[in-house]
Formats: sequence, C-alpha cells, structure tokens
Amino acid sequence: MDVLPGSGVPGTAITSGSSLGVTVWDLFYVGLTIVVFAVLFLILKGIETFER
Amino acid sequence: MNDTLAGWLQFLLLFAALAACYVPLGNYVAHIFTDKNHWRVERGIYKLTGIDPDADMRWSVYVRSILAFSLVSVLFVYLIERTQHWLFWSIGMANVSPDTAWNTAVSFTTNTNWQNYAGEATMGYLTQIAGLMVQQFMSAAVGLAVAIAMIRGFTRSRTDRLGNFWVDVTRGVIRLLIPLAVVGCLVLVAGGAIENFASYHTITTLSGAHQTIVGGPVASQESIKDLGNNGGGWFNVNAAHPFENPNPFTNIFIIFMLLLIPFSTPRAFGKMVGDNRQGYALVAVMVIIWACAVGGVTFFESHLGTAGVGPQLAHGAYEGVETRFGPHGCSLFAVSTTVTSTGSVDCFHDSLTPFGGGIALMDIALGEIAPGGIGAGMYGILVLAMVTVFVAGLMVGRTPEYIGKKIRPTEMKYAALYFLTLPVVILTMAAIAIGTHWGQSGIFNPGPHGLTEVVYAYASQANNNGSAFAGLGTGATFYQITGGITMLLGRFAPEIFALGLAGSLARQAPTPASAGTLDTRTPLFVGMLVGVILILVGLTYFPALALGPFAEGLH
Repeated sequence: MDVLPGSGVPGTAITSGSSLGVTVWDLFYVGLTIVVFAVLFLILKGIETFER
Repeated sequence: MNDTLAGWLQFLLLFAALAACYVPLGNYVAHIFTDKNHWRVERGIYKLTGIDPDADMRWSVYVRSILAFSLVSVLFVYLIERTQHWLFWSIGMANVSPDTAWNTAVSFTTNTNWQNYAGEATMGYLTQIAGLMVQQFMSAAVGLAVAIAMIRGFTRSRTDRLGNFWVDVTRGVIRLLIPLAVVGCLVLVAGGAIENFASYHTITTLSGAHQTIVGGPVASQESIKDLGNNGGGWFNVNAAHPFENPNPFTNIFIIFMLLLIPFSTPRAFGKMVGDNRQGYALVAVMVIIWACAVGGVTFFESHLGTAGVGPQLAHGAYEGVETRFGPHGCSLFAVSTTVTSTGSVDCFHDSLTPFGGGIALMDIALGEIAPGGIGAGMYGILVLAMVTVFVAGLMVGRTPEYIGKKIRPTEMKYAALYFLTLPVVILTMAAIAIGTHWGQSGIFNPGPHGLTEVVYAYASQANNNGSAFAGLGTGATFYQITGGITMLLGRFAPEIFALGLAGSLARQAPTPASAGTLDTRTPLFVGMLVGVILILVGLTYFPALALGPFAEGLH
C-alpha cells in the first residue's frame, strides 16, 4: 500500500543524477544499514554471553 | 443477490477452500522440512554456492546466517534501484532517489513491502523482477525457515542444533513458493490480470485527454506477493487496480492466496511434533480472531457504525472503497491483509470508518498471529502459547509445560523480550514522530485521525505488514529513515529472541506429560490463548487506540 503525498507522487521520487550530494546520501544509507545490522549482531552476541 | 448474502457467501467459500487445503498443504510443508533427501536442483545450488547441506546449525549460527543474508539483500536491492536507469529493462525509469531506494530495499528484504512510491511510475522491470520480486520469494522463505527452526526446538532434545538455514530457505522457495506462485499466476492471468513486458502506451481518450496504459509482469508479482504475505503491489493502488485485480473472482482468489500458507502452517506444526490436535488448537485460535475481525470491520463498514444514517444514505461508506468489490469485499480483504503480514489493499484503509480502521490497526498490533505472516505468525503464536501455559501454571497450579518442554524462567525471558520489542519500537518511533517538527510536518490530518495514521504507520512497518493509512507524508526523509529502522528492528530482533527460545527448548530433555500437565489441545486452552492475546495487546496499545480510532469514532 502506498502513501499519496511526498515521494509517492510520480516524478518527485525520482533522481537520475550522480552528483556529490547523491553520493553522500548513498554512503549514509549504506552506513546506516551496516550500523543497524551491527546492533542486531550485538544483541545476538549479548544473548550468547548471557546464555553462558 | 443482496450485498449481505454475497458477503456471507464469499466468506464461507473462502473458509471452505482454506479448510480443504489445511491438511494436504500442512502435511506437504511438514514433509518439505523433514525430508532426508535433497532434490537434484537443490544439490546443484548447494554445490554452486559452497553450502554443506548436511551441516546442522546452532541457533546463533542460524541467526547469523539470516542477518548476513538479509544485509547483503538490502545492499543488493539498493544498488539495483540506484542504478536502474543504466541497466536494461528500465523502461525509461530514472534511478530511484537514495531515501526511497533504501526504504524500499529494507521494506522488501524484511517482508514488509511498505511502499513510499508509485510502482508503475518509479520502478523499471528489472528492479521489479530481480530486486523486488526475488526478495518477495526470499523474505517469505526466511520467515518460514524461522518458524520451522522454532518447531524443531520442540521436536529435538539435548541438542543446540536447529537445522540448516540455507537448506530450509532453498526448500521453501523451490518446493513450496515457486510451484504455488506459478499456479497462482496462471489463475490470475486466466482471471484477467496482465502479464507482459510491453512498453507503456500513451493513448488519447474519447474526451481528448491523454492516458498512459502501463504494462508489466503484474500477475507473477501479484501471485508471490500474496502467497508470501509480502504485500504492496505493482500499482500505487495495489489490488484496487483492474490490471492487478480485475474482478470479484480474482479478489477472493487473492485473499485465498494470502491466507493459504499461514493457515496451513499449524498443521505442519502438529505433524512435526507428532500431535495433530496441537495444530488444530492453534488454527482454531487463528480462525476465531480472524472471523471476529472480519465480522467487526464488515459491520462498521456496512452499517457505518456510529457515523449515522445520513452518510449511509449518501453512500459515504463507499469513499475510498473500490466499487467493484463493495464494503464486504473491502472488509474481508482489509482484515485478511492485516491479520497476515501482507499489507496489500483493495480499498483505502484511511477511508475505513474509525472503528473499522481501529480493528485493522488492532489486527496489526496483535503481532499478526491470526494467522500472521508466512512463518512469522507461527512462531509468534507459539511464543504466545508458551506465555499462556506459563500464566495458567501461575493461576491454577499446573506445571508449565508445552509439547513436552518445560517453560522455565529462561524461556520466559526470551518470550518477554520477544513481546517487548515491538511495542517499544512502535511507540517510541510514533512518539518521536509526534513530538518533533520532522514528524509533525508530515501529519496532514490533525487530531485523533492523525495520531491513528502515525501509530498505524509504525505498527505496520514494525510488524512487517506494509499497509498504510495514507494521509501521512511518509515520503519525507524523516519517515523514510525511521520507517526503515523500524522495519529492520521489527523483523530481526524478534527473530533473534524466537530462535534463542527455540535453542533453549532444543537443549532440554523431553518431559513426559503428567497429571499436572495442562492439556493444550482443548477448547479451554483455545479460549485461554485468545484471552491472553487480547489482554496482552489491549494493555499495550489501549492508550494509543483510545486516543486515536476510539476517540474519533465516539466524537
């Protein structure tokens, strides 16, 4: 299901450039992904430690 | 035929079809994951990817495999979206913006399929197929694999091994999802859904306006999105689009597909633990909650509840409702898509009456265990069953055992962590959205309705449902980022705790049933489990429900 306002409107969600700004955002999102998964791995590690 | 009779008939037809599939499909699912032999194509995949199919994994290794696989999946889908314009089959679509690409990559990897974009105007065919559709298969298989590993916690003793994640996922995709998806796709095509690789055509209408007629392999994505409880859709309006859901037959068939595997999984559970009555007890709980929710939403949408006679006479209930399906088809779809983790819609949930929408929100808040998402509903209700056994033990002095395993403090700690995760994530994120300028700027409806939209959005994302109330500017960067984090935590943190619980159960020696053991196959236990589910959710979400849909409905 989609949300009408914001980038759900055709055209507003779309960029085709590869400017510096976009590259910075790419790095941000890749970094954010790694950080969130790192937190999940840490939760797992914490439980393993607790188990022992 | 009047609408009420038609509504009853389609509900009964759906119920009969699901009941007919319960035993054969459930037995087949159990067979898939207990079969000692690997199919030739599976052996080829293992050889190609360097997997040892006979390796048995500790629960923590099983979790690590899920997390590693999902991390790579997110980054891969993100890459495809960000470069789709330069790849083939882009059909002229530009590269997706970073925030939408990330939110979407997370969304499809976590089986949520929350969409902050209009599919037909944003994604090229390669992205739809190699990025999104692949994840619709894989994320569904991951959920099912976790449920199977959880069941092995009951069937195994004195071991910390729960099976092989890669084997479970491969079998889930090859033996279950692909065959069913092919059949589902053919039925949808026969029903009129489109399946092509045609370019978009711009035509001139009789009134002289220009209209773009879109194409695409829609039926194949529709099939797996429902069978895998993924949700979303090829089109912005999902199953309200005639190319995706052409008529009432395809509408009921789509609902059937999204309920099929979750309602059959308790049979697989019963089969694997060697006691089919355990499966019947759990499926009875699921059916009771689903049927009550269908009845509730149908009542409010058909009679407009407290909204009065005026709007009803003016057909106010049809605002936001696809007129081909009417309030009954809409209500059945809305409930079925929110009690599973599907999230696809054939009418706008924002247009439901306050109480109708409140039930949809509560369906999601239940943790989607009736019957829940593929796999996710099964391990969710198993954790709840253990909580119920524990509560019963405290109340009436019964030994807290479930399927021959003791429910000790260790197991209860895992269960508590499992159930605290989602409310903490949902309510914290909703509070941040309501309390900050970034979140407030996206709330277009003030008052209780706006609150409902915010809570619904985060509840939907955390429970990996994917449906939205709309009316909320979730395309803003704030909502893209917080939504993505919500989806990741809502998907994987509970899976960590569920598998930790399964590992703890597997290490135990079996406990024979005694005179003090609570029989978990009886109507009494079914009633207790329903009660525990409602009380747990009621206590957790009542303030939000009271200030949102209830306040709006009683206004």
